[in-house]
Amino acid sequence: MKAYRPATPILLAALFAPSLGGTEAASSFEVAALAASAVAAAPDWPAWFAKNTVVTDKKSYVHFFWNANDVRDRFQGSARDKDALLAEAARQLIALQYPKNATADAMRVDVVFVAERDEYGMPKWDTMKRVAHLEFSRKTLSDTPPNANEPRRGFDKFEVFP
Amino acid sequence: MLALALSSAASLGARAASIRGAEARAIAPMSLYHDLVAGDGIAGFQDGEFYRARFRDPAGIAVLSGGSILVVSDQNNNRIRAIHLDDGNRVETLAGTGAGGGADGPLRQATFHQPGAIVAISDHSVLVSDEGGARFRIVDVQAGQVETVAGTGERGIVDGEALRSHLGGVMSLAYSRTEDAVYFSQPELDAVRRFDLKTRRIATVFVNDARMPGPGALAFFDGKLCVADRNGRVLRVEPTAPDFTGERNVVEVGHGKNIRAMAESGGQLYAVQGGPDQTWLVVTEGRLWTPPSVLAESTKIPYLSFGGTEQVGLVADPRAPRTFYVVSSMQNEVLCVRDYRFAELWAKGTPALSGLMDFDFPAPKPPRTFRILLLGDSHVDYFYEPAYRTPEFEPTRIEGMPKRLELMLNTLGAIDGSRTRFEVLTLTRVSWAPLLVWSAYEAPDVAQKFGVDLVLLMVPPGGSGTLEAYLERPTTARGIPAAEPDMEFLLKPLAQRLRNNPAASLIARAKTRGWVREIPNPNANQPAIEIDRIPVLETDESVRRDLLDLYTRPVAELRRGLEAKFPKASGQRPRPRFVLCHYLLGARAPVGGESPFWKQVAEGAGADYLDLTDLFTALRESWYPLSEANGNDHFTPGGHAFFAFLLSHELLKNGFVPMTPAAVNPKPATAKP
Repeated sequence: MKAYRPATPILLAALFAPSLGGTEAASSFEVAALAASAVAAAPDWPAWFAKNTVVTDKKSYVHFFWNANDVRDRFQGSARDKDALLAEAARQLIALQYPKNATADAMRVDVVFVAERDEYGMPKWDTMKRVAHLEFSRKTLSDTPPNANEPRRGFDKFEVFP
Repeated sequence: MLALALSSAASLGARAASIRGAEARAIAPMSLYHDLVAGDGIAGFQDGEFYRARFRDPAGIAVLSGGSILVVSDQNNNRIRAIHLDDGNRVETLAGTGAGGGADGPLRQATFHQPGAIVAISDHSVLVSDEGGARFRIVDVQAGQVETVAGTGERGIVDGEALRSHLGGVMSLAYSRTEDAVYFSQPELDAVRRFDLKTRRIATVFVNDARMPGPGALAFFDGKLCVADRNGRVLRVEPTAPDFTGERNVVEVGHGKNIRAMAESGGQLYAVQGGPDQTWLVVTEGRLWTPPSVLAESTKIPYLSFGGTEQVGLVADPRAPRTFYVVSSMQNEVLCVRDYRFAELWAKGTPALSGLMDFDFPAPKPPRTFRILLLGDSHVDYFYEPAYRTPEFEPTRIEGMPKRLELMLNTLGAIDGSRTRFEVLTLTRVSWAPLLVWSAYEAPDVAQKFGVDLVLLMVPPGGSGTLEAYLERPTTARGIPAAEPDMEFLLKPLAQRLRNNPAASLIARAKTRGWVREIPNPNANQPAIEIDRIPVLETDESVRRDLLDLYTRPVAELRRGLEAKFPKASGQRPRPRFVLCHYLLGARAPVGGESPFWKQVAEGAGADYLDLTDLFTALRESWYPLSEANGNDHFTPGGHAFFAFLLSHELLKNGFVPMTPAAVNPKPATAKP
């Protein structure tokens, strides 16, 4: 059993709190409980991802695309906070949206902000700004999960764009 | 043989019709979602044209001849009537002189006394409960004879030899082909009994059984007898077979209220309910349903309801799933109703399980049906109108252009006497899904699944995002944009996206002419590319050639897809005709002028071309307002009706749908000198 030992529990409680199944979720809830009074709103990952992700099974890898514009204020913290948020987003994407029939272990995640939507709510791609590009092994990230001190641990590529 | 026997009365019926005065015209029965099969609604007796025929308290209905003939027990006319579904629903008297009595013999000499419940026991004969005489009669159309097979005339429950048994008060009949037996219910006597047609003996199955008080409507479902009791419970009898000598089990399979009749179709058991509650029930799904009331603009208006004690006849159409014929003792009409999950799919934007943005059409095509697959973007079937949309009065699918088109084509067909019925299957996507691209991938499979006869690709000005698709999706080996968005491709710089891209030369040419601009956006990584819809109207020959190529590719791919799904080898289904239809939007001054371009696209792709733009331009002011005033130019409900009206007219005029052109556009009378 692996448990997170966050050095900055308030922020990480907000990140890691909800929705993961299994042992890691339990530890996240423990963290969340410790810091609950200090956190305004824990991330609701399913809600954050709803209508904002496109997942494509490319066979040799799975590509996750997340338009995080609705929660872009969450990316306003320090570089480490942003790294932690991205690392947890990657974990949550796999946990919640890995395609049922996919077999690939290689994962690629692109996080973007699409600033504008049309009147039907469809993102206007012309207003897209890249936030991060992550590449990693699903197994590695599971075996060696990132932690608060090392949010980039387990990632093969962790690009954050200015 | 059957036709010969039935036709003997046809000429009599036709002559009788003329007694009523004006010469009947060749109106064809309409067959859409809920339709008149026969009867003008006035109690009386009249054979002939379906819309002039009269019944007097019809109480039962059955199907013969593979579904081409309906047989109605016309209770207070003391007759058995036939409706020829493959002959314009012509009504004739099959048996009975009209006098009350119990005389057997030749069909036209036999007499009946208030015939009620009726059931087919072969493809050419029915068993009728002759309620006034408390007897069972068999009407054999092939033999041309009526024969009393059960009952002494006494009322009650006496089993044994059929002709010595007591009957009466029979509400429902259900025939088991495997047993060659008819089950019948006597609710007032709390009994379900069984008439073995081989041994000609009657036995009681249930009587005064507390598990099913007041057994009424009967039907076979999945080979098992089902009984609706007085409390609305529907019980499956296990086992049904007569050789079971022990206790019969009953299992509740559904629940309704005051069930008057039941029938199986499409793998479900359906019921008709009496009283103020909703009439129609899918017993095995626990689902109420309602016909869509195509001319009512709300499901709040019930299409039909029955009295609490009304005798109702219900039979499934063996040729069309989830289609039923219904009569009742209080309405002097025979009706046809369908269940295409109207209530669930009433709201716009709700896809059916098939993926159609439409009602739940069964994949097998009903007889004499011409299916149109209508492909388009949201302009084809969407409307919003916030003031119009309230919880009590929602915009509905039935008010969009495709369903209006369906209604108009069928109405015109009926007026014209056409025997073809039309179904318009709608497949639409909102316009961020590029119309020409997704339709190339999706339409051929849908056309094959539903046996489509005509594919209509409805193209609005601008082509609905096609050019953008080349810039936002990778190009496939077939030279068209991929079926689905590829977000990694989208993240690449434009220059990379244009490598090996059929749109590269167009973009390069347009850039040098200043028609494509890159607009810097401080919030974005890449400048926005302004291509909009201007190039479609461009007259520069080289740019125009590029554009034509890009727009023609996916349309040609759709045509090739149809060819692959409908090979020309003998014995295959005929390939659907493929028409690209260009139309204008509803704004007061819609942008037009693209007709020559889309005509060339259609020609290049091997499709027929239909142009509605002149009609839109010429007539739109008189129909104002056609569009909603919200900038998206979606049509108003009136605009959808206008659109459907133009399209139905043009489809007929150009021979894209089968109807007799001479009747629709009659030749002007020759002027006398």
